[in-house]
Amino acid sequence: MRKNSRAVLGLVLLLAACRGGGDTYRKMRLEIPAYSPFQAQEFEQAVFGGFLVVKEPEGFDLNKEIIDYMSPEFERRLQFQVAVRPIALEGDEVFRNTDFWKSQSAGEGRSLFITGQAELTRETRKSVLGRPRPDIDDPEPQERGIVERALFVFNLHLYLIRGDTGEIVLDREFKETKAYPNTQQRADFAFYDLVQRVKTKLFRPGLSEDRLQERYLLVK
Amino acid sequence: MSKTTLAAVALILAGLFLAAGCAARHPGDQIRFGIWAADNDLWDEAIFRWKKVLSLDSRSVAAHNNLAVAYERKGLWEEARKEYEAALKLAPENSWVRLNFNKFKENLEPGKSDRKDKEPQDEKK
Repeated sequence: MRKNSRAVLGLVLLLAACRGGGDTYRKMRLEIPAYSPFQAQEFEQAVFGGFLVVKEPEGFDLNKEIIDYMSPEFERRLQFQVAVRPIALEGDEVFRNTDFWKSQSAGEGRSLFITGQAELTRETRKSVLGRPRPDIDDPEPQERGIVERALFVFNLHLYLIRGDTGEIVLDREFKETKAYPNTQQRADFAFYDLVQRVKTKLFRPGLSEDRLQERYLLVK
Repeated sequence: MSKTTLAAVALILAGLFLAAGCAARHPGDQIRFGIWAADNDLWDEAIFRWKKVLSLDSRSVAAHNNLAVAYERKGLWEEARKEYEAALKLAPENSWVRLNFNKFKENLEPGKSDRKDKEPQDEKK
């Protein structure tokens, strides 16, 4: 009798294992490849056509600085041949004009145009600094009260456009801001800080590197 | 061998046959087998199992969702999108599918997905 009850118990446990537990999902960490909107090998060259500048600090050539910074990055990271050929951009509607871009690439083979709209602004803002915590003996106490900060904002609307069809393959907007305690902060230094952030965000998906991400598998 | 021992052995054998049978036929077990395969990085096997579930029950939200995850893992973006959309069509309120789909969209178009969804707390883990 005792052996029988043990066998029945074993059977029940076996069936329970077969049917699974009560979980409704399983959390998994997966190496998921990053999405790339285009294949670099489809193109023979990348052409920097210039950027439509909305606003820039006095004495600072934003268009030139973006091209100078970005062109070696495209060349190095995506193994492109990069050319710089300024194109007259008369308004932001030109970016969606497929015929315009097809005409620009006539006889050039498979080109990828890198262009867009950019703005770098600088303003002085007042910030309120908090009081230091009484329980921490800070050897270098920070300022308190209202202080002035130089705030830089870099807006970049970037388009990557296929020369053969005039279609946009990448349309992304970046907005980066940074405040500096030095109210006389130079625009070129601020631009360098901000454009690096853009570069990090831009090339992360373009490189198709795997990234560890979480997903949920459903059990039922 | 006594009668009781024989009965116990027969009972266990019957249980084993029953377990093997349910593993082969029941869609729920195909789902779990697929998850086991995915756990062991056997994604093609997992896809095979979840497709099999859909051939038995095309309204299986779990199979659509899990297939979408598998396709994402393999970088098959269009297939993944179709499966997520199918899962959401069947279960628009399923928090796990919505969370996965938002993460999928975030992967494709960083900064453009709806980030309102947090990990659901109300469902049994």
